[in-house]
Amino acid sequence: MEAVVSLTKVTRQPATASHAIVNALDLALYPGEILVLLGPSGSGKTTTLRLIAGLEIPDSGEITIRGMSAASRGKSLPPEARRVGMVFQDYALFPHMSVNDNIRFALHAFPKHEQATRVNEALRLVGLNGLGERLPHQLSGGQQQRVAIARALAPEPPVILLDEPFSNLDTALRDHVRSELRGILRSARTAAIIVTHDQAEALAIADRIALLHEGILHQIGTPEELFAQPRTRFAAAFMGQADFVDARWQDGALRCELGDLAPVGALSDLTSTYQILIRYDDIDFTHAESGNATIVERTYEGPQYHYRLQLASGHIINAKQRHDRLYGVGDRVQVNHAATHPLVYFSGEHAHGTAVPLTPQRYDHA
Amino acid sequence: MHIRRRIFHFFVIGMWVLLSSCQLLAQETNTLVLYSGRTEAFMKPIVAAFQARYPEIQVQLKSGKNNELAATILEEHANPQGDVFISTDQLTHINLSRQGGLQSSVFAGSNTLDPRMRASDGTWYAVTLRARAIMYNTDMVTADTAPQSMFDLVEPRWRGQVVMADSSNGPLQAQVAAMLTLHGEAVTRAWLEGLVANQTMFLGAATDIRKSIGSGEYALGVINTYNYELQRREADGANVGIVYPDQQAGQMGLLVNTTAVGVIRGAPNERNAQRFMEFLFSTDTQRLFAELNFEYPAVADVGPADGIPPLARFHVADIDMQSSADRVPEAIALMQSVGIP
Amino acid sequence: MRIDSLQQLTGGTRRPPSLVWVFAIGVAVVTLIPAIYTVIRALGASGTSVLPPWPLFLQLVTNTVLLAVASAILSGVIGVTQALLIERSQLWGRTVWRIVAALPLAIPPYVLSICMLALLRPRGLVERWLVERELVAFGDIPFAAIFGLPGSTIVLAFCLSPYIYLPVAAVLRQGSNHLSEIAQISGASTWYRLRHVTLPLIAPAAGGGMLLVMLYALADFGVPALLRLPTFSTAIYGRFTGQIDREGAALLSLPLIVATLGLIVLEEWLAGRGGAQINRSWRPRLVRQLGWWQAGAQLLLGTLSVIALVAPLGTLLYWSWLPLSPSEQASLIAWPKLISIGANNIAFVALVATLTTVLAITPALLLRRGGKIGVVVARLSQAGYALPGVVVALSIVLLVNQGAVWLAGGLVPLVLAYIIRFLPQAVQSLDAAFEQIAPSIEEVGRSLGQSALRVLYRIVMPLAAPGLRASWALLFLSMLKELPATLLLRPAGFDTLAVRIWMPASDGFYTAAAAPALLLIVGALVPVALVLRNQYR
Repeated sequence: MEAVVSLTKVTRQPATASHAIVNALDLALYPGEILVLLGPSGSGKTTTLRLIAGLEIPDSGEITIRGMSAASRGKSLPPEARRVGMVFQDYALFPHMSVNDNIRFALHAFPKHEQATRVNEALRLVGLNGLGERLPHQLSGGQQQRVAIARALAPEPPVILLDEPFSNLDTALRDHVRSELRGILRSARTAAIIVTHDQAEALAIADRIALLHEGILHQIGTPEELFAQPRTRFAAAFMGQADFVDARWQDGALRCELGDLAPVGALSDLTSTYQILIRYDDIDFTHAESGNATIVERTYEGPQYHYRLQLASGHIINAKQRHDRLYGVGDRVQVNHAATHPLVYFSGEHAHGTAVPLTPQRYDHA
Repeated sequence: MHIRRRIFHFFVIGMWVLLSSCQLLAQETNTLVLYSGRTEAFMKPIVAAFQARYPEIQVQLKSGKNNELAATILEEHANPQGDVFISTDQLTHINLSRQGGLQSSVFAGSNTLDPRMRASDGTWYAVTLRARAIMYNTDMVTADTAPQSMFDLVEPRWRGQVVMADSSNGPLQAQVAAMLTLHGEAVTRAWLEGLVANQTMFLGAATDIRKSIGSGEYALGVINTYNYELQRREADGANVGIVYPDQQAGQMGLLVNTTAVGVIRGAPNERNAQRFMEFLFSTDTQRLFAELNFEYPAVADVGPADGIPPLARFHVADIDMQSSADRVPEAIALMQSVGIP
Repeated sequence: MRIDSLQQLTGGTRRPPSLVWVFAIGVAVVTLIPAIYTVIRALGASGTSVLPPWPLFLQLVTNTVLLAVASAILSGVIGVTQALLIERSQLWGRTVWRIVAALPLAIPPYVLSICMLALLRPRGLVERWLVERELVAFGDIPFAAIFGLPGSTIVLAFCLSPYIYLPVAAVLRQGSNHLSEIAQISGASTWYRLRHVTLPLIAPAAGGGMLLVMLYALADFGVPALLRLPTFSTAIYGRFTGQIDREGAALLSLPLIVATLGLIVLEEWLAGRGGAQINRSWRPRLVRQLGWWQAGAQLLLGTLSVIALVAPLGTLLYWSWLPLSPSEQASLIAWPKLISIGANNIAFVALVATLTTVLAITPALLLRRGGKIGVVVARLSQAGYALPGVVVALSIVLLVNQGAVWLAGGLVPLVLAYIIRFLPQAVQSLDAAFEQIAPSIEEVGRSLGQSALRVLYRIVMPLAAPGLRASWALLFLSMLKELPATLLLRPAGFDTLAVRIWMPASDGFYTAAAAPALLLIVGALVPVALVLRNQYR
């Protein structure tokens, strides 16, 4: 399948920056897919978006859109020639034009008699029929965003770029808007690149996630891959709550404080210490007089409590329990692996492999 | 609807264009363009009288300073805009004529005028005469203690009390040029330096000068004679006296200069220019100058207003106008180099 | 060290289209040539022209510099005080005071000088009134002190205070109060807050306004001429009108050009200042309760407006009623003719202001979007900043005389003078208007496939329209009040209200100047209203 947008070794370092904002980035977007550029602030994700849009010019590397070169070796196609739709964080609706006129602005290349139909199509797509004559300031934030999306989609571009589309919305609205956006993009069958710093959003909406950190691509893959099989400690920590417990190879198994694991495949080095990636759901605990951990903190979260447990080694790990299972700070507990699926282990920054807990134990709390 | 607003804007702009083009570009059919170095207020009654005589002629008056207008006339030589040039001293006209800015003109009665009062080639004619005099505030200076000569003004007892015109003033330029001709550079320079050292105030406007003497801001100053008459008739500050200086034997005498008029070379409205020249030298107009402005008319038959001593009564300095005219640029440079603004 | 490509130097992706570049360069050339030519002529001025002797030269320098600095400081104090009282305290009649504080824009400084002279000169209206009532005798009170530096400073400061009041008030109105609130919570006193929070906040706006005032004061001719203060402007005017050869005036222009260039460089250097932080969420402003100080505030504002507005307007109206002495009658103009002159003047100025605004669009766009080269081109078009009115007129005369004699005596030199003189101002305020538009608006326009030119035309211009209007209004006001260039360049028969005021006034016939002055002020009220409307949108 041919990529709609592809970036090859794209680098951008403005004169004022001490290091590259985007560093030799390779990326490809396939037809119909939603690719999320995820990363903390400063990771270069918005710059990458602007490079694709033509609002910035790469210092080296190539960008092609639909097979045609958009930027390469000093030549750059201006934004108006690139046919990519863009939705800005502040929506950037033309304040002096009505909703209809805003959308019609994008349809200048279409014959006049078609424009009205397409405007209505676009409004129907985002669920705003009937609001065509309103001015932007007469709309709510959510409605403004939908107009911006409609405007970007109206000329049926091969790809649409969205910069932090949910950050200006109330939390309550976000889930709703997120699934709506997915629906709109699917119906329009348009490929999209969404920039966000929120990993929960990325997991919810993406077909693939590209994780960026300081201008470098750490990992690209499906949400499941990034969550369950992160390739770097940064990726692991960024995608969700992550704890690491030390483990050493001993007597035929990887031993750690929470239990033993069997490595999948051979261990590269039998003598070094590895760190096992543990998330909430991978462990379980119960009261035990002679347990291996003590509860040091408890936070109420509504449906569950969040506990922080201190192991004998001094490491703190995180766990949750349903709200009706109450534990107190200072309680002694026994904590162990509960996962039946492979857990990733790391050596240094990088993942080395996976290991399966040998005796996973889930407690049945009466 | 921004289309409607757009149309409205164009309409408004269109109206402006129409309005202004009507007023700015409309060619009056019958005009006379007057370049006047005289104070506007003095020329207005003359112009009004001319318009009364020739109601069909539109007079456009451009007032300024002598040399400024002379320079403008020279600059416009390829496309002359003015018809007649009047200035407050004939030296300007002499110089302008030499540089080809004026053309010869003849009108009814022009050859009856005093030959000393006109150019031999007819490029300029003197209209009125005036003398340089010293005016003083009678509350601050008595007739006995008033200075009797221009050169007395540098005396220490007048420190900070004298006011006169600045280096851009035509009559003062003429005066200094005349003094250069009569006394030479060293004496004139010494006098000017003395004035500056004596904290003399140099002002730009003649009315300012006479009023400041009348109000007592300054005790005395150098003025044209008619300013004394004007100040005397003011409602306020009329307590002034006049000295006709340098009358003793051996002193230079009254420095007399004249206002002059000439037709500009290439004048667009020559016929009207002729009419105006004729009008200026008619008895009625000359009398206007005498009575409205207390000047000495150039036409011999018309005498000054009542109560004004005729010039013949005084010892008038004998100056060769041509050589004075030559020294005007030197006079200006001298004044500037000495520090007169 | 990276060397930017040509594309980057000309603004990268925000670079305006070529058409804009062509126009902007054209405008820069037109405005720059007279300035350069004047310098060339000045440098080539041979022995016929001399600089004044050292003592007088020094006096000119001192007077000019002191006038500029003192006016800027005094108008800064006035403008900031007004802005603080009106926008940050619980002042009664705030709406009225807002208008009053901006009204001095409608009064030309030379008109205020004339009125002040008439009132306060020795044997002026005030002294005579006092003497008639036998309160003092002539000469007891040193009225002559208004001449020279004190009077000139006061007149300029009061007339130009809106240049500081308006931007500072805008900042105070829109600025975020967080800092001030935090300071108050942490126990800081009012004065402390004022010094350490509010003043730094308004410093850029106030500083910018004061620089404008300094530039204006350096260039002003009418006020020092009337109040007998020899400055460079008056000296250049004197040479221009006093001699046939213009080079003397050109020579004297050089120091003035250098000084104003220096000020502009200073302004550029300080231009790291950011624009006002526009707070999206409106919250009630922190206003200072006045209590006892209310009376004091009202009194202070009242005094300021009495000096700046009531006194001159009152004097003008008084003169319109006075009977005239015969010599004054002569300089009076009948009302129908005066109104015709006024209408003509307003139409002319409106046209030229429109033309200048249009011409200023392309350099203003280049200023922020054209990269480093764009800034250079835009700044070149502001060459007129360095040339006061007298010098602009001089340079045009020199140039026309040299190359385009067929233009002499017509309206073109005058129009050119206005454009050169006021284009910088237009570029500056248009730049501020364009700055208000978020870059994302333009970027989205281009991502939607419209060329940069179409985006400028369909998006940027309509959005900047209110700012354009305000800029036009300020231009209109400046041109309506302009004096020296008009005096020197107007063709015969072309009169403006400013000239009609100056001619009799400079000869001391103040009464005859009253009617055109009132007409000018009335004509100026509409643009002032436009400016106020833009300020308080």
